[in-house]
Amino acid sequence: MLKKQIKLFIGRFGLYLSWLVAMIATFGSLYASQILKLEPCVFCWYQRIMMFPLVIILGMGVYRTDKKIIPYVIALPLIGALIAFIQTFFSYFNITTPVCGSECIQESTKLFGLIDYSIASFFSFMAIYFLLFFTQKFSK
Amino acid sequence: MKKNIDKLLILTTSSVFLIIAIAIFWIDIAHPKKIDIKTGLSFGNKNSTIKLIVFEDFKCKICKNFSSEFLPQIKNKYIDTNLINYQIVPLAVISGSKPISNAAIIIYEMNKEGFFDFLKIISEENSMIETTEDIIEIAKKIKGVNIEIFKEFLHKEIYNKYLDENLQNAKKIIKPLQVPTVYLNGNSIKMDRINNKIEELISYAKKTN
Repeated sequence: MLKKQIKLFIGRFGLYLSWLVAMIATFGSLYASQILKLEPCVFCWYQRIMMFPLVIILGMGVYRTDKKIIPYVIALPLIGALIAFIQTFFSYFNITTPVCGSECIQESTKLFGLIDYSIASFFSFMAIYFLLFFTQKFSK
Repeated sequence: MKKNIDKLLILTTSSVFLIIAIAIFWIDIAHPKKIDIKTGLSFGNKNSTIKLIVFEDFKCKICKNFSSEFLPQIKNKYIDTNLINYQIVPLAVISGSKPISNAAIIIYEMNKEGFFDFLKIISEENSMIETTEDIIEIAKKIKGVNIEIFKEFLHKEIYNKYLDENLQNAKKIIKPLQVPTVYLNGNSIKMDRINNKIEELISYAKKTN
């Protein structure tokens, strides 16, 4: 019964939730660069290229209640997640990589001091991907 | 019915984000920070209404880029012509940067003009500054520096307390703490926008005077 309700919920609101995640991620990214003045590195820019259009496209899809857009956008979060994964991998193994923000930051660049921006980005993209995937699946 | 709910959801959520964005803009950008730093290394016109404050660590690569790429133009156009007040707040953020920070401050106290020559030498791409002896060799090239007093002050690192105080103040202002951070009249700005912004302020000051 609960499983059915979850399926119904995802099928009905999944597109909106994926747009919400994209919106929060975009907002967070702009806050970090414009307010905290953390200069985005090249990895971050490519992830932004994958994330920013989702706000517009998914937003239009929700507004028009049109789930047909999902097949056209589902590749974007996958590519974004891949880039975020590579950035996290490089960072974890201390492979020389473009660094987010200035090289001379005393405090590490972590979201709320807890989680690296690259890991947060990876989970955001995966959340968007799975929400879109299951929205399409449960809407049939 | 479904379409109406979706439209309402998207419009409500977008409005909330817009309000939050405006609030952040209002709090952060529209209200410049009051940077009450009186203990920076000051150059130019103390009474100028245009105040450029730079928080930097002399061992930081990007600070060195700033000193070699932007500072000479700022010095020629605005500091030497007494149009602005330029303050450097030295910070020892990077491990091992206290000796060179001490050296820069000592040279500033001995000879302000020599400070820029010192900054130019340490900012050169191929400059190798590993030990205090390297710093002393550079200081010998600067005019107006009493080397014996310089060596004594450098070995004692007499400005460590001043550097620690600067760091504590900087942590309250710059979040997250990073160098170089540049403030023009309380507003944080990117390095490549400094010249344009200063020109705007000078034009505005001329119109209002």
